[in-house]
Amino acid sequence: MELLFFFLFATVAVLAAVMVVTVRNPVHSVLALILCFFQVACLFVLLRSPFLGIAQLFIYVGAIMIFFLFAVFLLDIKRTIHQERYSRWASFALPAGIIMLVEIVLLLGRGKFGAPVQEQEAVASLLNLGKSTEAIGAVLFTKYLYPFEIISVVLLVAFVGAVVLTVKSKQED
Amino acid sequence: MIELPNIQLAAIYPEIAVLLLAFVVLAVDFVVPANKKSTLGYLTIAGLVLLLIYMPFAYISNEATFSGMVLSDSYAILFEWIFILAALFTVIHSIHYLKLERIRTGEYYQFVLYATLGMMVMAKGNDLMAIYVGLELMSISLYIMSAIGKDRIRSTEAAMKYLILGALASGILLFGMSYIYGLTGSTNLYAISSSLQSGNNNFLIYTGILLVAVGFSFKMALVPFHSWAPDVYEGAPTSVTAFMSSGPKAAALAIFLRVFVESFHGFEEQWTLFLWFFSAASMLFGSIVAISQKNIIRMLAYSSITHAGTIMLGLLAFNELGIASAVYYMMVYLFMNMGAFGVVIFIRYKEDRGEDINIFCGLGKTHPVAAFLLTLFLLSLAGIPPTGGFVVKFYVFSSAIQAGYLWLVIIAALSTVISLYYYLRVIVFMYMKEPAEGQSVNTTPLQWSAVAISAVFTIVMGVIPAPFMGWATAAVKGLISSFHSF
Repeated sequence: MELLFFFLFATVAVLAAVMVVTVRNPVHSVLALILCFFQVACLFVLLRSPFLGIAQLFIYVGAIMIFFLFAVFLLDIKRTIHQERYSRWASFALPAGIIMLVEIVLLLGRGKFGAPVQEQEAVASLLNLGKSTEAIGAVLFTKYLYPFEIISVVLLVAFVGAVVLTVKSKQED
Repeated sequence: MIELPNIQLAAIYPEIAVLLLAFVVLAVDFVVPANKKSTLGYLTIAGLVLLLIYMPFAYISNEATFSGMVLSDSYAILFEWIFILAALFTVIHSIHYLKLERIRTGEYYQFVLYATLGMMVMAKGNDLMAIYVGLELMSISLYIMSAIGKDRIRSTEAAMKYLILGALASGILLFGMSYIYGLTGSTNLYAISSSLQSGNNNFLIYTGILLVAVGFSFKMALVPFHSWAPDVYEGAPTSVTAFMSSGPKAAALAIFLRVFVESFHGFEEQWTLFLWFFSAASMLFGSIVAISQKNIIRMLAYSSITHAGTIMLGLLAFNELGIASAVYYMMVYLFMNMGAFGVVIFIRYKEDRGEDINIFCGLGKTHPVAAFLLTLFLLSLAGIPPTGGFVVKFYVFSSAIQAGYLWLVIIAALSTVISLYYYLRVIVFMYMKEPAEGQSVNTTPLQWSAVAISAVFTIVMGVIPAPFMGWATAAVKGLISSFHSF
């Protein structure tokens, strides 16, 4: 039963991701991306991590994608440019994509991920569904403290960078 | 009760120092008026020089700390020297250049520091997680830096290309890392290594290793993942290009060597197959395409692709000499590349950057010192004795011959011969032709001294290589011991 749901969510997620790049209207692309993120959130729930699922919804769908949508509305992208670029590269990209897909399917069919995931077991003691937030918090501030702190610098850089690249043009005009 | 991890704070003192310096620059930026932003540059230089004075006393240990995320061994410290020097040279070359280009963004200096921090995190990373986070910190800072010359369309185009291709490469790298994690159950490099050693691997691991190699190769600009490099190098402000072609390349090499030597050494036979191809293609393609370049920055971009391919010979050889000489190559490359860019930065054409090769005509008559220094750096890049460029090529080639890569060395020699043509062409233009109109040298004493230091090191590393090679060999000992014990 769980497997059925996994395949349902996974298939829709991949289809939505394909739609993001194939749909002509950019607004539809954004909507397809929202659908894709929704499915990923569902996958997190299936993995017994409701907190990550909710965070995915709040942050990606709730905050980031809505800004994306606004940006697309404001940009007024011309559709003609969009079409030209497809026809130019489709004849190369399509065969390459198909070969890649066949390779992935072949590899996944023959190999398998059989890793004993020790860390998950260690976390599992903490992890009954209600406590997944606690478990994530615990590893985030102990085991993954260092990458966590560096990520905060990455956010600062993105923040300052966005200001630098947008505000500067006003000064010069 | 939450168990606290073992933390050795001293292992990340240099990182903390760079971050604090960036914060000081950020704070001072608010009180400095728009026409005095160069103050921030001098502040950054002062901070980086202090850090260089601290570096000989940096904490060195072979024990990983921060739950195995940070490994402050002598290998990481050696690379941190390279990064800090790259940042220092970049800032020195930037201050006057930014004025000439009318870029008044004080934040520029911060991004140099953030990118340096990212590179340091990569070099010290002993866990795929830390390595990836450092890589993103470096890349995002570089995207912003290459867009900072925003009045020029080319700068924005360069940043856009770099961002999109860089994001794609990050995606491929993460995909590969997820395969490795799925197969070994850990992101720690030692844990991955011991899990892979225990056998029982299925061939999905090859896919993982290949994807990780592709991600790293993109950052090193190896063929066929080089296509961003010439456009980004040309479009970005030249001072940023100088930084991009030395610091991040060294950081990519640092993680390439660490991950492949520490974790994937059991699969040498498999990964040498495709790295052989990346290396050979880079050496041939880079040198052949560089011949037709009329723009000196594009030429240096293709030359950097060639050099990246040559450096990979050291990893392919996969012996102590090879890996040490790859590290030594990077040290020499820092000085000769920074020197060449340092001279190119201050050659101006009327009000613009002098990048067309014809602008260098007759430089030997009008500005003999600049022409002499550029000649020196180009000869070193070409690999002519007695410069450092010759010695490192010699070391790398001999290590590859030791390991039996005869054909690859023949290709490398061929590419060196081809590359002589385009390096020498600039020199011929400078000394044999009549001076070009509108050409001028616009620089500061500080820039002269930085270029002079680069020149001194380029020669010293060629004449007395032993101490530097000894340092590199000692630094890679720790890496190598991880696979010799098997």
